[in-house]
Amino acid sequence: MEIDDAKGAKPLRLAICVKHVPTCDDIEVDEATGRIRRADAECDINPCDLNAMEMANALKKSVADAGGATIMAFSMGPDGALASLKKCLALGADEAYLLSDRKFAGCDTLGTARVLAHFLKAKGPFDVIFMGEMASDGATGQVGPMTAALLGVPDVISVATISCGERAGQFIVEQHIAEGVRRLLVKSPMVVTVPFGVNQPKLPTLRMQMRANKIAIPVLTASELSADELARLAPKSIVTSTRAIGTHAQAELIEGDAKAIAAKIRELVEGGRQHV
Amino acid sequence: MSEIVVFAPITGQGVLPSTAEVVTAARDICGAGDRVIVVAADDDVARYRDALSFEGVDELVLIRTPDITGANTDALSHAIADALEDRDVSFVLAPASDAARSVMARVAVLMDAGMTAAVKTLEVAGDGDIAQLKTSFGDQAMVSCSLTTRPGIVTLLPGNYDAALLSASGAPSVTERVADGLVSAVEVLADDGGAGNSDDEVLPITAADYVVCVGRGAMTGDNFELAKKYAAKAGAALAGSRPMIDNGWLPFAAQVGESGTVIRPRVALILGVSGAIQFTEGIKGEPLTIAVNTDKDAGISHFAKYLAVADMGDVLKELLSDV
Amino acid sequence: MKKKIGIIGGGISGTALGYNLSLYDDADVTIYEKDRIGCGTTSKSAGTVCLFDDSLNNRYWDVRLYGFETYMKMEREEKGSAGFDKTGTLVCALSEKDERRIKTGIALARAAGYTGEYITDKERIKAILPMLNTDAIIGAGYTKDDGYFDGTMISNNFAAKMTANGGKIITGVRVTAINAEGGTAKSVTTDAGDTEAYDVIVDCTGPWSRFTGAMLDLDVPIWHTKAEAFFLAPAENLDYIFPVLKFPAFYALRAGNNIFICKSHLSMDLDNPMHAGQWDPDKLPERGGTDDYFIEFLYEQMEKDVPGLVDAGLSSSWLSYRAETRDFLPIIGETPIKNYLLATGYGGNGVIEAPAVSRDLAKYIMRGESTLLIEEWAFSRLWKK
Ligand SMILES: Cc1cc2nc3c(=O)[nH]c(=O)nc-3n(C[C@H](O)[C@H](O)[C@H](O)COP(=O)(O)OP(=O)(O)OC[C@H]3O[C@@H](n4cnc5c(N)ncnc54)[C@H](O)[C@@H]3O)c2cc1C
Ligand SMILES: Cc1cc2nc3c(=O)[nH]c(=O)nc-3n(C[C@H](O)[C@H](O)[C@H](O)COP(=O)(O)OP(=O)(O)OC[C@H]3O[C@@H](n4cnc5c(N)ncnc54)[C@H](O)[C@@H]3O)c2cc1C
Repeated sequence: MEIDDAKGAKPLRLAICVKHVPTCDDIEVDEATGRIRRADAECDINPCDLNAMEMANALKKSVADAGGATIMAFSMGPDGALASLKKCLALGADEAYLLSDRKFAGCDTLGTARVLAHFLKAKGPFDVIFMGEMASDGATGQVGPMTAALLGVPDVISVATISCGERAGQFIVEQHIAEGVRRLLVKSPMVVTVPFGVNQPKLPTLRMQMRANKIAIPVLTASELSADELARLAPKSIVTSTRAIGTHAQAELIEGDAKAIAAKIRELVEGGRQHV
Repeated sequence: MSEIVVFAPITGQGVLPSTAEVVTAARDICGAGDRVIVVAADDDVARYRDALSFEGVDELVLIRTPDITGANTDALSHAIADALEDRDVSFVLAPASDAARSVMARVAVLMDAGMTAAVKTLEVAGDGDIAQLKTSFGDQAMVSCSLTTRPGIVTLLPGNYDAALLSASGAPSVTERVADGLVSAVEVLADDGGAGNSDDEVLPITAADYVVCVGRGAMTGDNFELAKKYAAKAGAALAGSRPMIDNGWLPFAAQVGESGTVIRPRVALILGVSGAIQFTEGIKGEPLTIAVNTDKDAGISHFAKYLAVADMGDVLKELLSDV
Repeated sequence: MKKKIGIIGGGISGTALGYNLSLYDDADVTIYEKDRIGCGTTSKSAGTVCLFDDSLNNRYWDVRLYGFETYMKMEREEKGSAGFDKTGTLVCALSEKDERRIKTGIALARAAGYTGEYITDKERIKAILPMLNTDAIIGAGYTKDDGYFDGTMISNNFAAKMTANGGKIITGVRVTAINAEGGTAKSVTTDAGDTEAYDVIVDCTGPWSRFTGAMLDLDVPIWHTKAEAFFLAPAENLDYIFPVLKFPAFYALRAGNNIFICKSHLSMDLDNPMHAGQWDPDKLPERGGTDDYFIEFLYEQMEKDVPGLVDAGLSSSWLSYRAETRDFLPIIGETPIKNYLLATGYGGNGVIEAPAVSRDLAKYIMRGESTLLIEEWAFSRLWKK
């Protein structure tokens, strides 16, 4: 059918979910509560979320002459996360929403996925939902696939590129796997998660940053969730204790002559490079 | 009596090797009367029967999923959740690997199960609860987690348990299932492992898992040439501190730091760099950092995890010589 | 017997002083640095030492020249050791007052053997810096001879030279108390638990000197002015030398392919809470921390004067505190507490001023000889008011 052609189709609706994460090298654990003192920590947008944003922008650009696309950014977190949303706006997102409520504060990954899925559904439908592969503070990479499962859509992790397929509602997705790259044809809607380093994120410009500073970011709260949905946010994976591990303020010395040093370096490098 | 399930991901190269470690972890937390069950699902799952017959496993569940393989996590997760539905499972354990990540996350949703990912070790607490120990914030904090649901899902990082051996006496009791009628929105077009078309857009130093960084220490003698040779040999990207770029030794794209590029490799070897903050700001993501510097008090000693006080040229020569 | 001198702070102030003291055979110098050498304000500095600009009054020309030549000497000894980038400088005049000051500066530079000219032909100005909008400019001073340096590298260099001369550097250790008896400072105590006696203690802690001064109940009259710096990545690679660019309200320089830009220190108002206050430098984030209003400021300035940067990428930013006094000149030498001296309050000019100040202060400490600089920049000028 003619209208099935990607060109001349409806504008694409893209979403991106980002997380505001601590960036500092020294974390502090509150002795009393055993929790990490987040309020004091320096935070910024999770690094690979910028790769996801770049990929969303590239897809938007590729359809500029074929209906165009809009990008909506979402972040669940405290007020500080506004800064990460602002960064998305400065990078070209059209709208941004902060999902913030004290009732969301204790969420584990499944709870987070439930909140995101709720608001993605409310503001959707979206053709493609972009997320960073992993949060640098948790490094579990579960939220993307969980959100997809909750929305009843497929997910593709470790995505290197995405482009429109021949027909509307189809996308060609390239995925990094241990053996190399896998090419997939995926029916939208879908969630894709994007790892660090697959593309070179552009920087916000002064002009775009000025524009971003002027866009209001609505705050969406738990009042939009039903009692049943709220009850389901209770964490199922609970942190029972946290302790800081003494970070190496001083490097451990590698002793011996050049030969011994080289041998140790070889061993360390080999161990450190091993793929998870 | 309950069952501890080990999910064994099947990849293009067969059974994921770290599955064997997860089997050991399952055995470790197994209480009296508990059973360890290995579950795998694939279009051609029967092929892997022998490779999945680990010692100390009570049952092997092989789910045949016609036309559905590892890429179809939307469908695969249904096949697994269905197979577990009628069983009394306390834990589902899986390797913390890309091959299991999406499937396990989706199974957690389907079973409304709590999930703790990227765990180092499991510990049986006094009350019989199984605690999951893992690092958080890079490697800066150690947290202990507990799951409130039954089953609970846990993925385990490799390298913390010995691999279980394959059973000498062949397969344990095998249950075969067929998951028919699965639908996936994902179709595999090519699985050739070839390079994607995005490669030439990628800056090598940001994509490399191993980066060799050289600083002004490389400006003496043939240190730079040696570093270049070593990086090529080791399959590492070569990066530099600002003076190396300012003085034309390396292109701007190779500058690490505040006014250059931020890299997130797994390992960084830092040679002849003093470790100014404008440089160290360019290395993120808590990689393993190893520095070689003639000055034991150089600032880099407060940044790197390991420091060798030596001439970088001498060390590079040794690294280049074959052992 | 040697004179034992303890220096607190290993920024450009402490290391330059340590080096100058180590030139005296009868000095026994120790520097305490709580972190790493040159990692404080010094590491966030632009490091410009220009032959003529508005940063330091022409009255102190010899301070400027001595600073510049000290670093050029370092570069001659070992190329790159002061991080010199010879980009030249373009100083823009918006008023006749600016013009007079620039012209005097040029005359002084030329008398010292450097090149420099005042240009009114706007086409020529644009040829030097194509992304400039010259509408608001009445003229510009230009020299090819200067540029900017790397304060951290210089500090490490001073520190290395000082150790070679027998001085001692203790890093990773914080001074937690300065102990005085009967109005005379006697010793310092560190968080490593050591107490060490000194004949003279010099406080070179820049923005921290409020806190170190308080250890002796001394009110060191410095304010922290916000130094918000941005790295901008131009949309296209620059195929020309981008000179240090000075406007009365901001200045910019090229770092790699990026442009480092910050508000000029003399444009700060100590009574405006957006600009200045008294804060804790230990709470400064290493990166970021800048206010939205600064984006607006930058946008307005760039749109007007350097439109080529409006579409440049914002690559990173940092916030730092300059330690300023009411008259924007440093505090050098004696304090009401005997044997406790200050070399702080360098504000936006520490890289320029540290060599000359340290030369004079070392002489004062070791030989008791005062100089015009020691007199004019004495603590007493501030406490009399
Ligand atoms: C605004 C600004 C932005 C900056 N941006 C960046 C940036 O993006 N990236 C960056 O790198 N820098 C940047 N810098 C510069 C930074 O401050 C440092 O000056 C620079 O990183 C120092 O480079 P280096 O470590 O190679 O040189 P040095 O500081 O000179 O250190 C050389 C080191 O090599 C060791 N060495 C010498 N010979 C040998 C040998 N044979 N074997 C082993 N070790 C040896 C020495 O002990 C020394 O520690 C910036 C500075 C400023 C002011
Ligand atoms: C954005 C910016 C741009 C600038 N541009 C220029 C320029 O172009 N030209 C110019 O000449 N100047 C410039 N300056 C100013 C210049 O950088 C500063 O004047 C100078 O670096 C101050 O040096 P300092 O040694 O006094 O302070 P710092 O570098 O802050 O050193 C103080 C040191 O004391 C240590 N310390 C503090 N308390 C203790 C304690 N209790 N025990 C032990 N150690 C302690 C700190 O860790 C720190 O290292 C600029 C500054 C900024 C922020």
